Amino acid sequence: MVGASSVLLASILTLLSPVLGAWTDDWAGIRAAANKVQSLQADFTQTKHLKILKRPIVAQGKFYYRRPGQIRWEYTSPVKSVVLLDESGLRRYTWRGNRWVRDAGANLGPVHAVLREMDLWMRGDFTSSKVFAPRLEPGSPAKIHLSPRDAALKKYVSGIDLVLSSSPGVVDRIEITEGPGASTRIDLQRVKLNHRIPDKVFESVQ
Amino acid sequence: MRRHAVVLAVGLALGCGGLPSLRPLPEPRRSQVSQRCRNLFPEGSWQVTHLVHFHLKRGTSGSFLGAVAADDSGSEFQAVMLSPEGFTLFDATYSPTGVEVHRAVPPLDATGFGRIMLDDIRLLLLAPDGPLVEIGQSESQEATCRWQRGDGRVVEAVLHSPGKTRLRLYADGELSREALLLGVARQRFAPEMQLRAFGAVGYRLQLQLMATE
Repeated sequence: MVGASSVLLASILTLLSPVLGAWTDDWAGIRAAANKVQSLQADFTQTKHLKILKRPIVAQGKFYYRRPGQIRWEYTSPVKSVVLLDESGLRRYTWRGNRWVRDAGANLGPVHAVLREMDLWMRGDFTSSKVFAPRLEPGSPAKIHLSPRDAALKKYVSGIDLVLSSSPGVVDRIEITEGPGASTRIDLQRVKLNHRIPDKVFESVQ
Repeated sequence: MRRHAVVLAVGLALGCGGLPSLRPLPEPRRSQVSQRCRNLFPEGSWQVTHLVHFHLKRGTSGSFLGAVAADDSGSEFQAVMLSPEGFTLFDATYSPTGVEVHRAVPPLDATGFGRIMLDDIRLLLLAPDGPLVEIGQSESQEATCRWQRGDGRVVEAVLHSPGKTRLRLYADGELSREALLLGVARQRFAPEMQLRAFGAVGYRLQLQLMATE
């Protein structure tokens, strides 16, 4: 009897959800949903389209996030590389000659500017970004469009779209448009929310 | 035979930048070496992607993805450098009339970077834009070819073995670049290439073949 009631309640809530509103309806809803995410891990597939290539360059990897502001953005193929981001800054490592080598001195401003924004995205805080101006596009799926505020960055990134999931606090897809003839699509899969992630994932490249 | 003599004479006249002369090879060995040298470089239109590791003399190092697409002419190509995260760091086109940079993320926007990068790609992937002026054997008994490029520089290919070829670029008689092409080539693309640039701004590149089209 209790089971039947639960099913009935769930069905009613599903039917009413358009009326009650979705987590993607406004910035407050997005922030509230993001605040419930203490950690997130996911696999991803990155598809890079270049006008000069008939076939896109496809990369695979894993993404880890833990509050407050720890990120591991790891590529497993074709390049093995890891970006670690925390309050101390951003470090990038590449697998070379059977060992991890930290990229030294290659400070690529626009690339780092985008990577550093990920922490804000994970907190659902889009409006306080000094780098991108956000625009919420409700719908199914809802999207957040980010336009570079700085003309210098606009030369390298013309816009970023975050396609929001029906699961609160989750992004399904990131689309980065660099300009005519160059775009990147990152699809997140097997997303796990609020699972325990060991400290070493964020502290060490190993 | 007479044609070969003329080519050799032209080669000697050009001087190949003062490089040591090669010992002539008898036929049919000479023709075989000539063909192997011509086969070092891809033909027609092609696309290739590499994983590239770089190491600068002053300590900076890192990795990027490189994509190059050449048209049918064999003399024009577009090259794109991507960060491991897929951001376009550098995008430029080379043609015999010059270099056009479409995008260069700082610090890759430094004057001359585009020309240097595209010149390295020319050495590694494009047949030299000039005649094959010398075919012979080096002092170390290795089959060697030399081309005189349109810009006056000399490209030398030393055929160590089927899976190992050394390319050298000489400018005014000085060794400017040296590259090793390693492994059995796929569609004329070596699975691994190592390039060393000499001079004030020295650097090393290691390229691993990812895909060809």
